[in-house]
Amino acid sequence: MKILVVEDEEELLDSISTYLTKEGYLCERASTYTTANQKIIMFSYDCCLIDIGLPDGNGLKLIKKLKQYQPNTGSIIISARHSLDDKVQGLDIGADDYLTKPFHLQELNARLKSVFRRRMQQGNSVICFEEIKLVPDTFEAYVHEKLLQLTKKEFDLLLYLINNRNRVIPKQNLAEHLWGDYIDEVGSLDFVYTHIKNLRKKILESGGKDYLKTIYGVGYKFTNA
Amino acid sequence: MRLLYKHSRYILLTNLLILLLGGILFYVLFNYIIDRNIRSTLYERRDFAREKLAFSDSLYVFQNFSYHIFSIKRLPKEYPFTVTEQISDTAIFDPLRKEASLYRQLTFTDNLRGQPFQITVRRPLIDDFEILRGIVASLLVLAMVLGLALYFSNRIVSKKLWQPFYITLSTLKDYQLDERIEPQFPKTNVREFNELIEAVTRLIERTRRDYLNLKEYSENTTHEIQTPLAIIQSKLELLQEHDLSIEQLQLVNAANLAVSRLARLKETLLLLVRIKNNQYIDAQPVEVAKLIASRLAYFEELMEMKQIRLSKQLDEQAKLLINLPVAEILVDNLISNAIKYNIPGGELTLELTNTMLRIRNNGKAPTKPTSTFFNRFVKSDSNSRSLGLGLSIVKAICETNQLSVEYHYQDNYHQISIYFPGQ
Repeated sequence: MKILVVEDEEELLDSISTYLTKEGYLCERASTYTTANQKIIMFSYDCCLIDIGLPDGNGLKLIKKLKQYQPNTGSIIISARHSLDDKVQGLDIGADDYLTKPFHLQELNARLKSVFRRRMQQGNSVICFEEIKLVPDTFEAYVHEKLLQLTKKEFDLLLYLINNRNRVIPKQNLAEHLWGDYIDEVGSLDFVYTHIKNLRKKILESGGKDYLKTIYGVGYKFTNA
Repeated sequence: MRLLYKHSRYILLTNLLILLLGGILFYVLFNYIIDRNIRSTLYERRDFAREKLAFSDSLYVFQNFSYHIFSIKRLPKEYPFTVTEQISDTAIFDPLRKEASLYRQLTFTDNLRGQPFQITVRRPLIDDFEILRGIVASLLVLAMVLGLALYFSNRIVSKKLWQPFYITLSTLKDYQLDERIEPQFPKTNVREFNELIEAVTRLIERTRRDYLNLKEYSENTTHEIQTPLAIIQSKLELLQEHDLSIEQLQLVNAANLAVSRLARLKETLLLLVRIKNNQYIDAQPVEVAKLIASRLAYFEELMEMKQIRLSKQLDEQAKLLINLPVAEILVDNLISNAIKYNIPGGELTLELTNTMLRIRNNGKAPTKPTSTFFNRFVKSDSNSRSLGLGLSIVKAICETNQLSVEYHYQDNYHQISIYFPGQ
């Protein structure tokens, strides 16, 4: 999987590519509009992460270029501007998703995976983890081929956990992933706990193993290790 | 008291004083002139009598005059004679008018052709009281005319002369620093007003510049904060990827939480700035009931967890001309507020008519004065994770959309009412 990361802030560019390389992606970097433009024209990618605010150009134009040269490549906008217009405009010209700075790399990872799934397998993808099977398009989850009765939130939660398996996932990340902007309203991370508790119970009742480890005071880790 | 009345009062008082002094002066002067006039008449008559008597001792010539004017008495020749002259006033009964009239008389004795005479010449006096009456009457008329003149001139003055002042004042009253347009003051040829307007304009310009600078500064700061935040957050996450002990993970997580909080704070402040800058202008008729129903869906879970009982009474016809995303933010903030400050198992009531939206929820009595609730960073509980910006956003949205908002607390219920602009 080849990804182009366009971000003018070197440190952030570095973080993103380090993280994604570790995740197994092949990462190319571009810190200016010009280099990004060249790379888009010359090479092909599976997905591009594009910062809108570049010193020498607008990232939205890069998305247009990308649609022109590589219509099958996925794209995620990274923006410092949390303006509704940018978001609407970005998605209108064909970006697959939109992330506002600052974002969690785990969140980026989850979004990236869902972009790939939609793009590469034309939506008929299945995600497997040991005896657990997820069908994101129908929001169905199976344990030992037995359908689990999950709510939409519980499904999201399980998908996020599996996407970020073997990794420490702070409760805060889960809360932000599940409730987005309403995290402030959630007021307490106890809600995450309630969802986790229900999810674990449902998996165990269907004969699944308990892969969820609680890391006291931090969050969870979904692992078969 | 209005300046004009105060001013008029002083003018009226001075005028009355001047009138009074004028009256006294008038009276004294009048008396003096009359006195002089009478004296000279009396001396003329004395000289006339002397002349006639020096020529002939017949009194025949005086019979043409009234008895009151000349009364001549022959004195016995052996009368111990001294030449005297004396002026005095006397009252003589006037049979026609049937009352006494005042006269001034000059009595003198003289020896003319060997015959001593005592001669009195008189002239009728005008009554002092009558003079006074005349003066007072004319002064009263004058005072009235003055008062009327003052009244009418004041009306004209306040209408025309002070007009630039009143316009300036009302412009200043309505002016807000964050308005885009500069205030327009009237043009006038009155120097004082021009100076005032000039001073005010300079003051406003300076304050506005400072205000805009400060605003720009804080907006930039808020904006510039996000890149470092993004870097911190990403580095913390990379750090988390390493094989850390639980204790180290907890430390990283604590830092992570703080960054998230800062990020939310920044986001909310930026939103507040954008609303206040009126950046969401394209309004459209929004069906409020539908909007509320769709937003409530996001909060169902939270309400369930807190076991909040929701009751709503929504008028499906209610419409509001507003930018849709802004309306969503407004409704979200109201609902989330009503959930956040609710007690477990409490009530949440939504009421919508075509003139207002009211949201009521149970909750602890406010510990801070309710008038501060719409201010930034006012929280009911300083330890809470809330940012304390929810109601500021509500207020900002209301202000930029001509909605009025009220908060009440009564009998364990918090109530926020939003009134729509009149059609």
